[in-house]
Amino acid sequence: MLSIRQNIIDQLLKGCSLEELKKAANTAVELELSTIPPYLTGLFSVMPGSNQRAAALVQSIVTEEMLHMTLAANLLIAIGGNPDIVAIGRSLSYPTPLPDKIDDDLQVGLAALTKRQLKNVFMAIERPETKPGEILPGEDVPQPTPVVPGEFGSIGQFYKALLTALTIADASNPELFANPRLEQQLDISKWFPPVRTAPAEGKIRNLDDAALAINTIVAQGEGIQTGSGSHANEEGLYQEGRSRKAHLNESILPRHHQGGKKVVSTNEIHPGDGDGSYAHYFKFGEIFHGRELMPDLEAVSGWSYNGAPVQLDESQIYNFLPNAAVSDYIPGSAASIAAQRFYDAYQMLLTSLDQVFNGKPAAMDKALGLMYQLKLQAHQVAQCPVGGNASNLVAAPPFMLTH
Amino acid sequence: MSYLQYPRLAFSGLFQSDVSTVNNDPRHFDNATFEDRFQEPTFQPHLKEDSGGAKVTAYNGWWNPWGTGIFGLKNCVVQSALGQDGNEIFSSGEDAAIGLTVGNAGDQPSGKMVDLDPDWQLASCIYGQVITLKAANGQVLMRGEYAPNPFRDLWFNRVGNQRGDSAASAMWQTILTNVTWDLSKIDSPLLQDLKAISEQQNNTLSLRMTTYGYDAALGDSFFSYGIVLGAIGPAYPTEPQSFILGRRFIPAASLLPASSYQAEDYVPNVGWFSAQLVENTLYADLSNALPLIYKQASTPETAYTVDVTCGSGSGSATAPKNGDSNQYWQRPFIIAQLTASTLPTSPYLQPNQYQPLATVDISNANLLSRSGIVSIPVPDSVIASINQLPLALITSASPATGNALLLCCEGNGGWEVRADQFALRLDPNDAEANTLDSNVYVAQYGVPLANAPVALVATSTGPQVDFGDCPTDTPPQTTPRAPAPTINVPADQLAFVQDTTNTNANGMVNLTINGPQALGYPRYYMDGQFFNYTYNFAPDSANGTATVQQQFDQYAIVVHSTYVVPDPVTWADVQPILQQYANLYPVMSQGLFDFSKKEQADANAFILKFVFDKPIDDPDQMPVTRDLSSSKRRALIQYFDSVLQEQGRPASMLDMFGKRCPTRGGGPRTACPEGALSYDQDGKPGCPAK
Repeated sequence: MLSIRQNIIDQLLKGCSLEELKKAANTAVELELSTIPPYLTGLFSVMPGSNQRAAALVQSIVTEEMLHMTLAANLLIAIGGNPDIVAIGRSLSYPTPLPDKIDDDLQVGLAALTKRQLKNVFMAIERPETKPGEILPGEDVPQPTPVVPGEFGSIGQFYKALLTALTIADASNPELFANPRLEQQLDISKWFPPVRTAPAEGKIRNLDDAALAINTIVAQGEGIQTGSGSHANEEGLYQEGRSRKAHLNESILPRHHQGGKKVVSTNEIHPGDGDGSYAHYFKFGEIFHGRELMPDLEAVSGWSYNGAPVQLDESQIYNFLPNAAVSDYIPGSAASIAAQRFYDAYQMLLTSLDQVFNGKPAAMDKALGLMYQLKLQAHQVAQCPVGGNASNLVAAPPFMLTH
Repeated sequence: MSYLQYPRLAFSGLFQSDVSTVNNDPRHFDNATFEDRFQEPTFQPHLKEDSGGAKVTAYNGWWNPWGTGIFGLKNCVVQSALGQDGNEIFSSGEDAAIGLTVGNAGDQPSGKMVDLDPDWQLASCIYGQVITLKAANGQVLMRGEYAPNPFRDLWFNRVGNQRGDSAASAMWQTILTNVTWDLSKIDSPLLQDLKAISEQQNNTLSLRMTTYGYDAALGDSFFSYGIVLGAIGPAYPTEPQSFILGRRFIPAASLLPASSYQAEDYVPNVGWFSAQLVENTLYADLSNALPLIYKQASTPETAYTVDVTCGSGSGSATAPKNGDSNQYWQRPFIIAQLTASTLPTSPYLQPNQYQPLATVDISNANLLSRSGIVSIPVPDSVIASINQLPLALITSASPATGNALLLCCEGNGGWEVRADQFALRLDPNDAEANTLDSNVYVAQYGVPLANAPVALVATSTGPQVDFGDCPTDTPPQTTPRAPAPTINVPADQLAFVQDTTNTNANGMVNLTINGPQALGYPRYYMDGQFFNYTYNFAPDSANGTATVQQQFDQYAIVVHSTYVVPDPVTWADVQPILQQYANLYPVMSQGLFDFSKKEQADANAFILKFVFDKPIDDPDQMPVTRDLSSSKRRALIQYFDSVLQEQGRPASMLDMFGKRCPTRGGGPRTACPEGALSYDQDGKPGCPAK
């Protein structure tokens, strides 16, 4: 679980200035962007045509992180700010630290898609917060989130606190959403598959929209924390392609603001994301456990990874140089040239996204093309051996210029 | 006036052209006989021995089957500039433009390079490319859009000791459009002048890139890269965009009979080039003309260098080593004016046959630092006759014979006739796209033939089987089974109409080229047909006499097949189109998703419609889309539109990315239980994954 400095959360919960709200929304953008290089590295390590279900799961997660970044950026725009995507992208350095507000206790590194990376990094990033006694779907024993009072809180808590702060600010400042600059916000309905839990077009017009956006981010990441256990197994039957009603977590809707009230009890964590899929932690869990997550009345959590196989054939995963930077490659080598090309394309993508969220949402047209180009160029990097002393390693597409 | 003139920037560096090569063999367009291995590279090394010692070659998908089509510049730096007083500038102290980076767009997908047609890979076009001028801190000082244009003056033997694409050289001249500037943070009088001219000329500039030294060996560090020499200068609407209308220098061996050469002489292998007279200075562009040698080196720029003794052009290639007694090749190269308007009959010029103007710098350093452009002062004594007598590139006189050796010179009467637009696509499915203009410019001794009658003629080269692009494997059993296509049939499909009898004030006359009302499938498995026409002055033209044209200076025209969009468009209608695309571009079908399978195509209907709907010159326009007729493209868009209408967008992200056919990419096609290409009784593809 990624965590965030408690003082940021505390400040938000107390209510804060508009500038501090913008900073918090910008932190949300940073947070979402920071997960994309690790997940893309995992995705790019899958050899074309292999590990298809696993690749689809990771691809769907990384696309949702892009959606979250978009929702967070739209929120920032709605309250008068704009993110500096290029600066955020260049500030990211792996293995960690993630943006300085975020816990560096968890070592987030860039590496190939292996069970080790899934367990130690991907599932660790996405792990829902659990309290003593709670068991996550598919697991047998409770693993309560370590509590470090006063220092760090969970991402879920951060988003709830952000919503609280927005609620407080909105109550005292009717101007907060008076000029949401909708023309600058990115219309997600043009660029993403339908997200039923998100506000219309993903645009933030008012506090309710902000709540829907934040709820979508939390639910897709960590899963739905239901108010009662009754929906749990019903949810699990809703697989993609079937229509269903989203069950929103009332505890983070603004009208039912509960502050720090404990609403989650044992086995009330639901793996669904409210939109027909599992939340990220459970999608990664399916790859790690090698099977789809299914409702299981026999299981202590009501769920177990005993569905259809989800293959992770590690012989079909490129053995990537971990935490690659362009400077890792021998100048003039094929790896170096391909890596620089990938890095350049990544910078172009950041630049175009910067335009998207700084007044030119139409630039998304170019950004989308660059995303596909990035994938093709990642494949070209992966055709090159690292060389030198790392003769058994394959060059990884670098998201960093140097260390 | 063009890139040759003040204010001019010269740059050099590398280019990348990651072209895909499955489509280099036209037979790979045949879905029925396509094999998976056509997506694999040719053996490296090219020819190997099997266990029994027999030679084996299978071309498969040629040298870069997974090419992305990406084109771009890399490490290109402004090396010099032509200053206002005619002096050349080589240091940033003299003008801050020196040392700037010439590069690509920083915020949009890379440009792409594609062939006009698999049967004519000799006029490859760049599109979606942006050219920028950047400061060291990355600030963009100038940005312009490369008007899509194919290369010209391609020749395959410039590097005397290489073969194939690595030995080739060509030049791309075009205009940059929508040029924007930000010179607020740079003090460069030269850029200020260029900006002022550009703004007066509808925000355009002239760009020339000469490319050579291409590395086509998959696995090399610099694979898919080559050397580019560039020049940027003003563009004027009175001039052609894709070539210099000026003094056209033709290799003497193309003008004189082989018998006029003495066998023991070595003749440097100099290519075609152009020059332009500006007041009393002749600017000659040798960037695509000087012979080169390849030597193993760590960077492309140091591996390919000028060497006048390296060449397979004409004469005796071994003469320099064997002791060529006259050693013309050791003499300095000079630009001279010939003293008679009729062409000499021998390449050995006696002193009274020419008037030397100046020695030209043919060093490799000059090639890289001045983009191969040389300035030749023309004395007043010669200016008087400059428009009446041919210019030539010669060696200075050999002490042994007293004669100079003619290397290149203007053709008979100094006539030049060249089409600005020559690589074209016509589409009988769209009346507007079935007729195109080609501006043909006429000049004599570099002076445009203004407001004068001229008659042009275009001549079909006649039916030809494209054996050149359809090689035979060794042993031949693995050769693609589809028959090689025949081009230029049926005859008389195109009409060339000269719009006016007279040229205009710029020496231009327009040819309207009309496609046929309808065209079938004369190449069977491939859409449309390729036609090529040579062009020249007509025998009865009031002005101009037929001149020798560069080998590939021809009209190269693709005409699409007639295709009626079905109503409604079904999967069975679009599947064969998408199948061909998936076969030819594995980087797309296997690197992204396999759109030849209904489930995957439908799940990705949004992105497919997005790219098929792009303007034709958008960098996201896939190479294959440019091969499609307007009606086939419309059918695809309609199909994906109907998928989106009926199904909406995919239900979830996982739905979008989860549709992966088990037999594609991962496994051999034979793993598909019913065969990926089989169709059921209703004509629907029978893959169980659908």
